[in-house]
Amino acid sequence: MRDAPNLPQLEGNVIRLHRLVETAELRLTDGSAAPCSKQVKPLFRHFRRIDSCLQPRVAFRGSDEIFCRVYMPDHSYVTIRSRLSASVSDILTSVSEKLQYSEEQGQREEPLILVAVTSSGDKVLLKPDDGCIFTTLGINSHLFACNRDELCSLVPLPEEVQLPPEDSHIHRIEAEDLANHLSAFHWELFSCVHELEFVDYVFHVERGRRETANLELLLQRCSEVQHWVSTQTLLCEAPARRTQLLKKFIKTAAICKQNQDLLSFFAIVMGLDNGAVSRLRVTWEKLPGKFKNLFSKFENLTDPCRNHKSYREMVSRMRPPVIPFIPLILKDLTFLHEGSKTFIDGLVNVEKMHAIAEKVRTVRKYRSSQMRLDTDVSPTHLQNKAYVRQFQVIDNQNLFFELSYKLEPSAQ
Amino acid sequence: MPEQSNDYRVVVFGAGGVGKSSLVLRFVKGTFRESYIPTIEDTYRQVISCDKSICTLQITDTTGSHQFPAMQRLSISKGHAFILVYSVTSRQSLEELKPIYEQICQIKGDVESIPIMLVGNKSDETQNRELESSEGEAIAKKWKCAFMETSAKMNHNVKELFQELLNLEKRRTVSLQIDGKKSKQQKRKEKLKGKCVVM
Repeated sequence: MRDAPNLPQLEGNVIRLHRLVETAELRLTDGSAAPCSKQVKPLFRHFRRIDSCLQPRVAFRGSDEIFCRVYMPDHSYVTIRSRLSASVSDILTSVSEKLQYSEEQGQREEPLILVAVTSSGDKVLLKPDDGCIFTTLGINSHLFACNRDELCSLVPLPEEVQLPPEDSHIHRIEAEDLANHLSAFHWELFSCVHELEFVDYVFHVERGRRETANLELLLQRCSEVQHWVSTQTLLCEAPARRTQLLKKFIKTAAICKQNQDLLSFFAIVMGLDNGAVSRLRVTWEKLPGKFKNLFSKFENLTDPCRNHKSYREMVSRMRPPVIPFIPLILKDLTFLHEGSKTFIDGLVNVEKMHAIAEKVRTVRKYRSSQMRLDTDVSPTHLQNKAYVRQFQVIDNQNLFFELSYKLEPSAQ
Repeated sequence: MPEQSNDYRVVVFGAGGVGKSSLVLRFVKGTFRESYIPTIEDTYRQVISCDKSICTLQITDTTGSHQFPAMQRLSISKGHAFILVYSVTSRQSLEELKPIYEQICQIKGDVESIPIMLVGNKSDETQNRELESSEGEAIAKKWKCAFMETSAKMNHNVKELFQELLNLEKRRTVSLQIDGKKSKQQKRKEKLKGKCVVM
């Protein structure tokens, strides 16, 4: 990846680890697995292939197999093949098998533990019976397998994002293309989410199962877009270009809003609202008044005050297809769920069920007609499409501030 | 962002089931197992010495099936040295190395300055041998690379293979041996690393 700027012919094929998406067929060459021509879907960030990221997204199921990298404390890694719904102990079994720990069991009594480590070094110890963990990881988080006593010595992988060359893709792509590709991709992801996933996400304790992978991927993508906007702005060193970039993002947000893709709209505005970006006073000051006004309008629309009143008014005026700001639907569902009991004196609280169903039905309404944006198939179009589907982002807020202070040191 | 320029990257290629992972695991962990688990992509890291200082040897074990051409290209462009493994029990596995070698030539250009080792693995399986070592040698001569026969199972020539590969590197001095002084430092570093930091 680091060589990418030097190898333009490879750029299109660059595989960045830790990204999402796409399907690939695993045809094993050995006889034992030959009858199994099942599809293996390389989940996010693990394998990226330009050809398959261009294919339309298909919904994930718990039984789908994915590839996943598991790191050791010294940053060695093994790639395992796993069901999406696999439990932590299943994953650890595959890892120890690969590392041949089973053969030395005599000396090795201590079981491995699985830990998710974020780019800023935060660690979450995963419980052995946790399942479906892949879709719950942060954007640049990695799975580590280690002994219990190695836990505190785990260090995150070095950041993979480097300063983009002057003519990086973001500067070449038009705001309109950017917006349309974002909307088209998010519509695909949104279409993959089953209505029940919304219920499962909120009721997971009662339902005792969590098949919410597609919803989680969409949430992950929303945060990815946010971080991408902040990353791109903060990695742009030339002040004039940076202002241009702000303009481009604001324009893109406007077109996303026009596309009724409120997920992308929110994500971009929130990315620009990141403390590390909004503190770049000099950059914002150079923005033409028109864009400043537009952005403050956008900030009003995403303002959470009075329970997102302005957003709710806007979305109620829209006719399908709409990509809603999903986190708000989940918030509403959570309030409905936690605000009232499911059973009262052993009887089902029908009113609550109605309210939940009503909320889920809004999702059905938003999707009741198809969003069509994507028709062109020229090479640049395909390049743009691939670019939008494989963002490279920083998700470490400390690093954001570090970059930000380098661009514009504090006033004192 | 810090670039890990210090890494020396070795990539192991070869058809499925020739023993790439066995060689790597024998070298890295000293273990061998009979059961077969197809590899997708694994990378192991080891500390070695390079130009009289410490660097990390990254050994990337690749998949034997050809389903990720883009992955393969990326591994080649990132790799500093290559091990091309076939099994002496399968003529086919030697044939399958040819397109990989050609791809390395295509991506790297001047292959003569790049350490490449052609390896005939499973040399212990004398009964099933389909290829004599002279055949491997002939190909190696044609490809202008080094050649060795190994057995991961019997631990024959495994460490030698990696040492020989590093000896082929002329642009810098890389060695599996870490000289005394540095290794003490390294030990100290590891010792420090092992301690908990309270933030």
